[in-house]
Amino acid sequence: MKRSFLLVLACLLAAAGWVQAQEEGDKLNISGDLSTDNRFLYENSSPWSWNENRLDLKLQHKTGSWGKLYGDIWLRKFGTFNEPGAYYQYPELREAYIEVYDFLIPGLDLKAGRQRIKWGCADQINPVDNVNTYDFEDMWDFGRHKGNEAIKLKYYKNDWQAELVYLPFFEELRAPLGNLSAALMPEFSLPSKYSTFFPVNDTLFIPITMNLFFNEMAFVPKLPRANLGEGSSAGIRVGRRFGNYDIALSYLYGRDGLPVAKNNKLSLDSLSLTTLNTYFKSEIELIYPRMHYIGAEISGTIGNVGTWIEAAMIMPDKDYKMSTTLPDFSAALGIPLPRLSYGDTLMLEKKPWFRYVAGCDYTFANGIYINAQYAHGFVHERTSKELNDYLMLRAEKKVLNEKLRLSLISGGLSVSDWGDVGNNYAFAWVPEIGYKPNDNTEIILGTRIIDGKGGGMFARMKDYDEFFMKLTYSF
Amino acid sequence: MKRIVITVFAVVCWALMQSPAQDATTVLKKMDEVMYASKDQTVKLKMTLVDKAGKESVREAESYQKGNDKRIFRFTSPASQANIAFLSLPDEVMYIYLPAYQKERRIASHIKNQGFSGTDFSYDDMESKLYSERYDAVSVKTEGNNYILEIVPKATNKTEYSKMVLTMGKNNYYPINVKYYDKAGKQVKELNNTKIEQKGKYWTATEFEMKDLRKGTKTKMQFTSIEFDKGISDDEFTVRKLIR
Repeated sequence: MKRSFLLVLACLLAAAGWVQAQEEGDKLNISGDLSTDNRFLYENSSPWSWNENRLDLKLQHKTGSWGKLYGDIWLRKFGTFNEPGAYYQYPELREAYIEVYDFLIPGLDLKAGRQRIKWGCADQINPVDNVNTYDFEDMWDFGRHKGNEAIKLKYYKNDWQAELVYLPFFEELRAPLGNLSAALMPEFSLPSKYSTFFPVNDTLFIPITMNLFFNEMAFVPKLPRANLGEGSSAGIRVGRRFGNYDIALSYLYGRDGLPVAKNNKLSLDSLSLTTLNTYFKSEIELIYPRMHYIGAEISGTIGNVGTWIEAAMIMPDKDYKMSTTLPDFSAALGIPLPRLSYGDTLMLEKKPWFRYVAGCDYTFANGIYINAQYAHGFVHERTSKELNDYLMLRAEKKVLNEKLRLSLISGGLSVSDWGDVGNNYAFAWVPEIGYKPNDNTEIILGTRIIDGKGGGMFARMKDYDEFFMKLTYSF
Repeated sequence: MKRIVITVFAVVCWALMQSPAQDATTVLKKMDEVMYASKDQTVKLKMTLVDKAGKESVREAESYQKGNDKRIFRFTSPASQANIAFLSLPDEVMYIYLPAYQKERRIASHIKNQGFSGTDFSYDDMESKLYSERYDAVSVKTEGNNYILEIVPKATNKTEYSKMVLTMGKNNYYPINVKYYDKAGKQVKELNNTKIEQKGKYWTATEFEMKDLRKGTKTKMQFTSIEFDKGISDDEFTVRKLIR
């Protein structure tokens, strides 16, 4: 990790230096942000839920004529998570690419390297934005993705845009850190009983039911091989401006960064013949399902109101089933038993589901800005049954020459079962105040108050009401 | 006979009422011809925002404009604003590019009457469309070496202003001062073109100042360089160029 980072950084700087030597006057531009992000839980014996200190360093060499080189590196220190060897202990190369304008033909731009390819027109919650791997490290930073190694060709002609993307390697998503690490885990239960026939002799079998307990569970992700057939993804997006509207259609054949269980290998830890309690160790192999993503976007204006709709149809390329390998009870007990088997469990069916977002924004004459969005399905929700509904609202007003930003009515409401809303809802109220003492510094103070019932993502966060403070300095 | 006299009187009155308006319209059109004479222009500028207490903050930007309805405006400093860019196209099509968002975003015309990135200019004030397309000239009078022109928005123009009063030199028709009035008829802003120069064959204000009388703030704008008629291609005014 460290070596590859240094290698890419060295290449980037060398390339930038080379270009600088070629074209006098063009300089390597260094900019970025220095920030500290602190969050404190209201009710907890150890109240710090987040302390991230980040230097976001952006290197850019731009030439007016043929293209640019760009790199974005994060250097971070967390105060709250101190796992030795964790990825965030090292510099992270978010992006490092070279962009060539008018590549081969006029109007065609080539972008190659680690990059963020952003699709979608909605605000932060983008159902069609599936090219890059999701980065859920900070659950409150909606829409964050990792950069991926990719080649992008984008062609512009009049009001048309056409984009081809190819990603040679797959990367799994980054799971949430801290106390929200379980927020994306789907609810699932392991079998608690197993019924079979116990052979007393050659002719007599008696039915027994064993109680199953899992002492240990290990998840073993199996990444696809880095080759054309397994690890790569490819997609196309075509867009056009039609009067007051921008319209785009896209298709992506890629892998979901969120895995499914392929095989559950059980090994026997201990078994009591008197109580029939059976204790297992479980090793679950995880794979990353191939998906077809078909997207549509439309954004524009109705009257003076900004509007957008974005939708994605997502379908696995096949049924994904989990097989269960049971332990050899005969060997463990020293008595002959019939070979036990457990049927496959369907984890992901080859059936499409639709995620969509519709939103609008408007600024009133008094300067109050309103942004409202309705979303059906969050990124981790798969299959039609799992999709929840979310309504998000943000009202904002800038005062004192835009030095003070007040966003007091801000938050969301989610419903996971319209048939029983009272037991399947959640709301989050996230008011915040941003203050800019000078042009390059912003201090944000705010709070998150969450409540709800049921198994939805936000309902699971209800015990984590917190106060947050973020300071960012741009240079 | 009586009927003929009344008719002639009415026609004369109508003509008398119309003629100043005709003159006003002519003056407005002449002003447009002077202000938007160049085919294109490339500008580097410095904006100084002065708050109520007199505290200043500085922003720098560059702008490319072609005709009256194509423009790209890009901030170059301070760091927090650098590379934020706006693209204006005909038919009120506007895009914004925010580097942090990494993608262009369509913006609706609801922002037209809002402050342009914290300055005292609104998006509407920054528009480079011909005044005569957006406003009707109501009256004109002469004061010394200046014309005083009053204009009101056309019905199709969704602006926060109810009228503007422009003072311009008789010699060049370039506005020296513009007073902006809200729907209640109260003056809310004032623009002073403090330095008007002839660059080549074109008149242009290279220094100007907008005061917001409601907030007690002002924004000073200074062109650090300006070039005309470089033959900028239409391709420069595209989303492709906006996001670079």
